[in-house]
Amino acid sequence: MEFPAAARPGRRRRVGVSCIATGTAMAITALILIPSANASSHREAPLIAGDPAVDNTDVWAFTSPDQPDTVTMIANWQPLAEPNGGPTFYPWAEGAHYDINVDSDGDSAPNLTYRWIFETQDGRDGTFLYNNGQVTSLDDENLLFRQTYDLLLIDDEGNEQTLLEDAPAAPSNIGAASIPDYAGLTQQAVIDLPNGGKSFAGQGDEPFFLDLRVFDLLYGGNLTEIGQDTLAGYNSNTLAIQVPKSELALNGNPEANPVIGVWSDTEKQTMRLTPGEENPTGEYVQVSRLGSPLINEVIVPAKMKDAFNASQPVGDAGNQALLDRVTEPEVPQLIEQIYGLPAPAGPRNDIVEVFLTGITDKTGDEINMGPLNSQLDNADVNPEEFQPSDQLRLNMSTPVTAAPNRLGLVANDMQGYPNGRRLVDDIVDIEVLVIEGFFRPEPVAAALLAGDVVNANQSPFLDVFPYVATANNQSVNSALGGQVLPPGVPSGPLPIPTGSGLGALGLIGIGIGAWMLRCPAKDLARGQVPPAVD
Amino acid sequence: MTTNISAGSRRRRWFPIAMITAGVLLLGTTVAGFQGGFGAPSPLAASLQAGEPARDPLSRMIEAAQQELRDDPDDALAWAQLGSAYVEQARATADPSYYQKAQGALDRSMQLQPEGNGEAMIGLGALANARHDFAQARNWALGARELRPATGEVYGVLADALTQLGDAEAATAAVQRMLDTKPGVAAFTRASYDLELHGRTDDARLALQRALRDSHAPADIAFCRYYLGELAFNAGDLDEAAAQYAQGRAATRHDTALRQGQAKVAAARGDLDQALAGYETVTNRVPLPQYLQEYGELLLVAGRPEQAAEQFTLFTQQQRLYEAAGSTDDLAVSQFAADHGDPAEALRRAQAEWERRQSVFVADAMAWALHVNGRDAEALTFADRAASLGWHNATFAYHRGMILAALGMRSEAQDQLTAALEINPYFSPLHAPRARAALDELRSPA
Amino acid sequence: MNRALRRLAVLAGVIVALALASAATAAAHPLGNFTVNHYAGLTIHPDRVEVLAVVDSAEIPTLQQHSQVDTDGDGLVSGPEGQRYASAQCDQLSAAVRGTVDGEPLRFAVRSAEVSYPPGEADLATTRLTCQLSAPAQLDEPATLSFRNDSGDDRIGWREIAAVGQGVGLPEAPVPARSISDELRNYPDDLLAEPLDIRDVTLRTVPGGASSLSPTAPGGIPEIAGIDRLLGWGTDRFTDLAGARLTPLVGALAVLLSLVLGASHAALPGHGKTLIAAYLAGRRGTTRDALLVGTTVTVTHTAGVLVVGLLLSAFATLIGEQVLSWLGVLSGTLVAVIGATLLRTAILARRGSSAASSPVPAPALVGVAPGHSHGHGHSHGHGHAAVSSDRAGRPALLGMGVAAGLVPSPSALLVLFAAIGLGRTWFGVLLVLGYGLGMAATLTAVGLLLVRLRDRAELRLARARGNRFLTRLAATAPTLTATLVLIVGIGLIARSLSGTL
Repeated sequence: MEFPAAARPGRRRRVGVSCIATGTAMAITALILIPSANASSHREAPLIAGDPAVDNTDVWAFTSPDQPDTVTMIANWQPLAEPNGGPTFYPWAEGAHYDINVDSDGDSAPNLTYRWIFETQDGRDGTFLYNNGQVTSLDDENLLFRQTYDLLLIDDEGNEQTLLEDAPAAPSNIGAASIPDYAGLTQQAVIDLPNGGKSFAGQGDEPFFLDLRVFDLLYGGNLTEIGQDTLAGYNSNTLAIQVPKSELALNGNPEANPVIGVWSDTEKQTMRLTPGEENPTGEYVQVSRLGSPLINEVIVPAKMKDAFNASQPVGDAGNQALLDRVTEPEVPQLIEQIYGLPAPAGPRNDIVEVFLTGITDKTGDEINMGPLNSQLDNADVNPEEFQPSDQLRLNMSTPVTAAPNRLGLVANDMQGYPNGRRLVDDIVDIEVLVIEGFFRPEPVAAALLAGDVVNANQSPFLDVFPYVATANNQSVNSALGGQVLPPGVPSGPLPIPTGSGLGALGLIGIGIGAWMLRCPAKDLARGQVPPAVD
Repeated sequence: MTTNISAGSRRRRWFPIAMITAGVLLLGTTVAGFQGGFGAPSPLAASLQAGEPARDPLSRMIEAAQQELRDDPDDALAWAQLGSAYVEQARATADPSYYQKAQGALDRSMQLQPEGNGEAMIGLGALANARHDFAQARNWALGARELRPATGEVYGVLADALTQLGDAEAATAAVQRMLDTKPGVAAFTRASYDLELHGRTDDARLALQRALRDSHAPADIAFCRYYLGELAFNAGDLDEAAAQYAQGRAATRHDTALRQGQAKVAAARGDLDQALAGYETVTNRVPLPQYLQEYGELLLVAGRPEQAAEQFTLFTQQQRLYEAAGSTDDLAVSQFAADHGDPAEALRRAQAEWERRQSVFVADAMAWALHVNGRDAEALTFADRAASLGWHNATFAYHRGMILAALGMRSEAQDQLTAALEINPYFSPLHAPRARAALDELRSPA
Repeated sequence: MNRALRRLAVLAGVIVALALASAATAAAHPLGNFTVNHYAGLTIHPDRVEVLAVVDSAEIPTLQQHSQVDTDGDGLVSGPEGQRYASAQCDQLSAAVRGTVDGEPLRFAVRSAEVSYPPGEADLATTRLTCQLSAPAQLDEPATLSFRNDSGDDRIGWREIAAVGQGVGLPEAPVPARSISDELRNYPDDLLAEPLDIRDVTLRTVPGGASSLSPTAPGGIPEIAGIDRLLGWGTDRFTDLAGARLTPLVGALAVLLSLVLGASHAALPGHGKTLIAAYLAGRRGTTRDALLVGTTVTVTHTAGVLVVGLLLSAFATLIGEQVLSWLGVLSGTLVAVIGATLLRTAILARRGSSAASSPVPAPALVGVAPGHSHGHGHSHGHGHAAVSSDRAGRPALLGMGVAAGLVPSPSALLVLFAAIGLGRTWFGVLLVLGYGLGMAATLTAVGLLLVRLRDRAELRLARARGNRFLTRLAATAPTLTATLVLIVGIGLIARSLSGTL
């Protein structure tokens, strides 16, 4: 039935009014729901509790410069550990599995796992102090809180061999007064392994050097936020192990099978809630994982991080979301957006080679460097079983460079990252160049070559195992995010032009005007201007 | 017609030159004065900088997120993380102004990224839990689970909501999933609660000890110590409880819950003055309804009915304020009204809550509300419901015992009341004596 | 009809109900209803330290305190009860604050105590306690002042400190001069700031020089303060924009904002605006003249800001404070000398000129020659002036434009420094250009306006010439202005000297 013309607009109006009313009602209702404090005592447990003790930060693997028939692997945990970290400091998580995994046949499953398991001896008895006097040795009775560890070597069939039992770990660097010579303690904590090699567990200077503002729109969007080693002065918990190459190589033959892949992970034991169980403890679940540096920060987006941390390398090849992030990385797009440098065309199989397979001629021919660090080039590897995955791949036969170049492979230093990773390799600069297509035939914009202008760690590395610089004991002044504004930038309300300012302006104005008009003073006083000016 | 400037020009030029020089000099000094002012940050920033740099990880994370957002206000992820951190900080400091900030930050995040914003959904779920809107929290958590099935916090929010909604099996499953995804403080504390609710007190203690081992932030240490203390107290072990509370206070100065625990222990030991002083401090700082009610009851026991009445008035006013702000806590009001207010209101509130959620907490409230209204047969069904999980709760047992006594089931009542006093002879300064009296009366020949 | 009415009624009812509900919510204590918030505003004089302490207690603490306040238990708080309570609380507060000057403790005494009960949520009252404390102190030498407010440590709440100097300077004070919550009346809702918790402050004090940067310093002109606050807000928004990611939209907005800033800045007194306007009016300037002035202003202003900005920042950083204050003295002397000379000249000229018809009152010193002072006819004067202004006008106008534009304005300098600080120098130049355009727009507009009103003004002036008072005023004007310059010069000398002592 046709509504009469007069009623139709009325109907529309009514609909409109009801819509507005509903909308307003909803809006006001939303306004009303202002959150209040706890109304009653339903238990509110912590939700965002970080677990930095089991948080992988970095992995390094390189041929030991002073013992070239061994490889040193270093893994770090506990990000941004400030040197004045009392009273809890930075103990290792008891009972957790701290692992360094080695894959020598390229199937992305570990052939060897070195596992550290820590135990605490807490002699503090009611106080919070770690020590009650100076600590000069690892078994100093003044050290009240100690940790020891068992080091296990697990093969690919799960057989465990105990390499070390109850070995002492170096404590956190409590401070200069408590531990006057932490370097000495570090050396005391270097324990020889039964089958050749050494192990170390303790604190060290944070070896990673970069300007963390790389994550702030790539240095603030205009390369102004560079030059500051944001990690300078921090410490981290370090596990280091030095083992003969023959122990790591496939079939014990480092000449035929020189390439190994390395990554680190952490596992923690869960609990079983199933009713009736006597002992509620459960199995070990993986909570963190790291191979190539910055993958977790740069390639894996925020929404995938937790899943990535729980995943195994063996699953990377089937993780399409991850593969897409590698073949179509976000960083070059950002660089193009911010700096206008065109991103190299996809798919980025060169990055796949660098991060997921190792540089080789056997997977397409993206990078023309010959066989370098892929397990595919190991003689005894079955290429059918090869799986790409995120690992740090080291060719153990690459000779040690006498004068290492921080730009690694990019500067033709064959021993440098991404062929393994040395402490001196400038990861950010290398990775930015790689991700911008350095290893492709196309040239890379020179603008990026300067990078973050943080070219070295603030403390020099040691020449001997464990190579990381000694843990710091001075507090870090610039806490992350502590500075609200860059210095010297005005941000407050405009100051009133003071009397003197106004006066100054007036004077200058008058002066200029008078100059222009060239009138004698007495004429000015009389308020006259000459009829002509030249 | 040109003016002859060459002759008198020099004389004429001195004036402008002098003026300009003077002006420039003056300007220089003025600008230099401004230079000092140039560095002056805006008042808010100045106020921030006046404080010390934050020490604990949560405060550092908040500072870092705030700084990031000042530079790039369109970062949805940072807003979500900031919002979640504010919710956490509200819990840790008991400062309610964080809730509004959390809401604002999370809303901003959702505005910037309405689809697929798992982090913001987790934060909104946590906020909903804090505001007792458990159904809403569950919805947020389920949505976030679709997006982030590998993220532990999702299951934390879900577990909290499901526990309070009364879906016990699903709650346990959620906690288990959280344990298997991220076995840390957050998971272990929830595991402890789940185990405790199912009567597995020893395992609950183990879980809290694991949580304590993984705790770094002072607030987390305080939490673990408080609930270890509670486990001990609720089992009648006063010494252990006192030790745990004391250790917790050594870790953090201002935790109000730990003070309340110590006040409870003092009351149980008969030291009323110390207990009352403790409760006064506690209610001055964080006047939770639970604390106000306990304080009032302790004042009744100490023979100060007028002061008790003051606390009860405060309780009522506090509830009115909550309601004015749009949040309701029918459970707390029902429990209060049953003992100190209008029985009819107690029942009304309990029923309203029961409609919303059928957890063991509400079942017990229903049972007691029905009891004070004389409807003990119905009360018994609810009391049975409250006991269904196996929780060793002295108050529940007491309620059940009193209901049975009212129904004339003397031997069952005796069993229950005895059980209540065995679990914790100090379960309430007001009701424990009543339980004893009832027990004596039941034991004497009828 | 019925249904529509009914629906409308329901709608109205719902809206009213919701509005009421939201109104109740609107009165909520924004920091939660059990907080006790503290503010301490320090005013530092050379001979004493005054503290304005405000305590804002939310609904629950007010209830909790009620029995303490209501001593006669009648449920109401009478005036004397409130006063007793306020005094007692302020006494407690004065015992809980600690202040030291160079390590010497300050003894605070309570000057006044007040309490009031602003309404809060759910018909409950909140409490507002105001205490004025004062402690004698010796701050005529540079010193270190520390202050700590420990009162109410057992409660959760906002804690704020502000400090301003009266006759004492507070360089690099870590707390602001004014309360950001308007003394606990209006809590700012900043999502990027945690609830304020400032319990102590350490200040460096230097004698002399009121913080002239504070708009509420005595003698501050409210109108300027108002415009200035607006400008300040604008500049804040501007630096926010300048610091944000530079998308085209942001860039365009920033330029727009700089235009507005420039225009509004030119609205402030100064910049020879009156000069130009009057000159245009006097010289019978045309629209094109006005535009010419506008262009000149823009070009010179931009150049001026750039040159002066770069030079002066180097200048000011290189030279120490002492030298600067001596320079202040020097410039003050120069100004005084100029003033004296002008005064002498003016007095002489006045004595010299007798029956000559005095010129129309001219603004400042650079005068405007009336086009009709010699009694010529309107059209003749027009032509006469036109002839001379054609030749003299254009360069003079240029000169005016240069004069107005050459003086760099502090806000433009601010903008430039901000952009440089954020690494966006070229963007800064663009913005300064926009700023200059804005200024030019204002000046041109004023000039055009006066060009239009010129006739009316002339008629008025013609009539005014007959007015004796105005004539006398006109006669004394040059003397007056010269005297003013002299006084300003002396004042500058005095100020700079007091700064160096």
